[in-house]
Amino acid sequence: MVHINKETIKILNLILNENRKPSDISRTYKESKHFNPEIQKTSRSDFIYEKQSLENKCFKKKLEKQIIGSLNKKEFHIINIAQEIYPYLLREIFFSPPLLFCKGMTEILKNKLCIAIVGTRKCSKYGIEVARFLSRELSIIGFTIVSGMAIGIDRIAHETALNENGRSIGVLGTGIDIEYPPENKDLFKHMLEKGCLVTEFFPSVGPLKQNFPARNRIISGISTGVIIVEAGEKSGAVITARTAVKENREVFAVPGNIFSNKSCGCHKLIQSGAKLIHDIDDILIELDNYLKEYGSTAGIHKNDKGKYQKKINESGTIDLPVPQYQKKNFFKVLKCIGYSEKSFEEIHKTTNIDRNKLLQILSFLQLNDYIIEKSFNNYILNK
Amino acid sequence: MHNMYYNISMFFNIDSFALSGIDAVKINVEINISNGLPTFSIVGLPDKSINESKDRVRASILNSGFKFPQKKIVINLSPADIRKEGPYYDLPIALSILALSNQIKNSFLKQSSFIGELSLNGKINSVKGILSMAEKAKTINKDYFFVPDNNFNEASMIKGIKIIPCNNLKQCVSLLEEEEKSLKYFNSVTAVKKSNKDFYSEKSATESPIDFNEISGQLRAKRAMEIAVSGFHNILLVGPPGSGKSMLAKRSLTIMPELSFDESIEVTKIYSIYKKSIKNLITERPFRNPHHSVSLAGMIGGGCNIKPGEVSLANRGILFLDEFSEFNSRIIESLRQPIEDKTIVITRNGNTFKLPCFFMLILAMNPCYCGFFKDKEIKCRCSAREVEKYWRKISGPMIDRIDIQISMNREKLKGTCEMDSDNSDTIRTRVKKTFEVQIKRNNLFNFKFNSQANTAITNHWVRSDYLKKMIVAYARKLNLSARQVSSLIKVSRTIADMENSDDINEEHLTEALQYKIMLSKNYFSDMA
Repeated sequence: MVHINKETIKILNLILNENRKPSDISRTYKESKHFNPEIQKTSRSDFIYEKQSLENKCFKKKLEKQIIGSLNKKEFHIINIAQEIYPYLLREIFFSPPLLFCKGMTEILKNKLCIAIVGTRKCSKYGIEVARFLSRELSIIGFTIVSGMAIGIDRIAHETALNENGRSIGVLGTGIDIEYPPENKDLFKHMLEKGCLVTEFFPSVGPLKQNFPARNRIISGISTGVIIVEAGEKSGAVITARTAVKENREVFAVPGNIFSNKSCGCHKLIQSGAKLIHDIDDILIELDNYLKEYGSTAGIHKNDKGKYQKKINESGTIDLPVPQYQKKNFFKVLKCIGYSEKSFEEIHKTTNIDRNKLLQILSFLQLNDYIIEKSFNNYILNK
Repeated sequence: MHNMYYNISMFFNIDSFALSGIDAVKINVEINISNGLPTFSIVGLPDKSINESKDRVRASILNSGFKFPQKKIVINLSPADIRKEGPYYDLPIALSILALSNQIKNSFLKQSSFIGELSLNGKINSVKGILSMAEKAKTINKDYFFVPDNNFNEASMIKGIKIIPCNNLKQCVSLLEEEEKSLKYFNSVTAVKKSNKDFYSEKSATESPIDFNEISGQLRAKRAMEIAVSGFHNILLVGPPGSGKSMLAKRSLTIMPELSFDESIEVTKIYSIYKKSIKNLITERPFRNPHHSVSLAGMIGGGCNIKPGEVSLANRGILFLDEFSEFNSRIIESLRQPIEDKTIVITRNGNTFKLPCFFMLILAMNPCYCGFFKDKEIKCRCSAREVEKYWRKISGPMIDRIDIQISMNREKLKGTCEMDSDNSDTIRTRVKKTFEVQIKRNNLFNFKFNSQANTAITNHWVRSDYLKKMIVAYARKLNLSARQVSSLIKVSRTIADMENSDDINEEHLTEALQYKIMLSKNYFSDMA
């Protein structure tokens, strides 16, 4: 038998058997540092399980049994608000969830420097590039990237952080045992290995549209700041920004094309006071207080020039054999391509290398990431 | 006349043929005439068109000036367990009736076989699949094969059997009277045929009005196409509208060497069961270009009377699927087995048919819905999600089976059409050489082209440890499947063969890898 925290059992009991509102539980805890059973009973619960099953006692009994069973089988963990590991920033928000269901590497939650990168599901190529850039740079510096495990920007943010050997927290809008959206099945697997999944919803709660704004409150709650990469006018990312403002978090927005309706939400946010991001330093300056206080624990130092220094990138590359043939031509081709797109025919004409040889050279350069095929049949140096 | 009135029952039989797939099987048309109420029935799993032949046979016998016996007539098509289709048996049935009622004098019926549909006036109409039947007639050692007039050219592609064309029932009966007469007739028709040279050589590819050098630029794509044709590899062309995908695909045929004689017979046999009469032996490789609204039966073959589908019609040639993404995904997936096995097995009504379908697949598609994803000048209007959705239609197993993937861009307009590369003839000579090189090597293992090699053989092709290491490293990087690795080696082998090199070396492999990059994991990483 796994030891289950006494307080966790107490809270489960309060919510499931004694009809206490989770928000009341955490509020009284914050006031009196203990779980007071005297709080008012309620007929209506918060959005923790589905409405139709609220009145069903049988369902609640079953759910409690299921949760205890899963805990014993170590399918997931529960962290309660009284525990040390509970994210300290989340404890400060208006309605902190009394229980957090987690999966994966839970020690990531101890990390004090978290930043959220959120955005629309229907993102553009520009949005993807920005999300990838920010996620990579921030996770190299040592931030934990928080996002909502949705498709689009969220997915890119998580994926890039994990690929850079960084940390990532995914906040779910469903029960911990549900993988939603199904398109992200591979990401869920990846996150369980290297990241951490968190939710306040009870197991077996499916994707309900009223739950996602609540999820957004946790995303901004965990993080020191929220970056909105691309958002339409009514995107969920805008809701996250709103809750972030309410909870006194920094809000950053990435500007975009004024003709694109995917950047419209971001621009509105900038108009109402969100910080426009042009560079990674724009973010670091605003989070200076946090970095001073917790930076050293995450391995971030200021260098002589007053800039925050990045950790050394440890990502290994595949050991590829270096070609022994045509070495001279390789440089000739690289020089010819440069930083503007060149089509195969143009390279062929300028360098005057035989077509088949040139194909081999370009193939090699492309395979080893010296160049990329930016548009069809057009090559450019890889930055 | 004596027999007709006093014998209780009389029996006679004549040989004919039925089609099974592209091959013919011998059918014995048995007839029994006995006393009783005058009836006429056909047994032995006939289909509707055969049952209708009763009326055609009766009318044509009477209209040709013969008598139709007023007896109980039973026709049996044996073996009785094969389902027979089509009006092939009108002529043998009519002849058997005439023979049994003593209206054909002496004859050499037993040394002959017959096929043909009868008109009500006694004319003999052409039928499908004559080539396979003539081949079968030869193998079962028949001396004569009586065929409809219009099928003569097709049947006479088979040597070693005397093909006798008949225009009508009356002529057929008169030819059957004496063997001498038939022989004389045979010699005269063959002489006429020989004098007409057009019979054997259909217009060859050299005279075709389209040529490879009409495509300006697109050096990469042209090279890829040459490799694909040289090794019979499947190829996928991706590019925005107007980049010349269809143009390149259509010209691929002009760089293909002609069919060998055996291949010609195989191709003609398929077309012979598809069309009613074929004038000449098909020497040019087929180029099939079905529209994307094609049905499953149209693509694979099938139907109530088995008809070869596009995959079989493209046998030994090219199957070009333009706008590949528009094809029904069920049809796309149905191509998986034919691509792998090079034969297709169709089962209908309990009969199983095996048709060859060794084709080179050319697929052409746009990179996204609007068509301009990764275009240099025009901005793509699709969201990343739409692009992903577009590509999801092409399933992993299908991508796995494409040996060469190449991207194309729109050429800049220059005002004039530059003819800056080799013409079709030059390339065809090169391809022919490559064909010879690989056939010479692969013949030991009972296959012809590199694309047909199996994994055991492809593994054998890579000898040096260094290359093996290189393949593993890049395969990991590009996330290639085992089948893709095997196809990578096949393409490298073809590139090596084009240079007549005994071993695959680093350069060949590097170039082959180029054709795997597009659909590998990293390339469309811009997709969410």
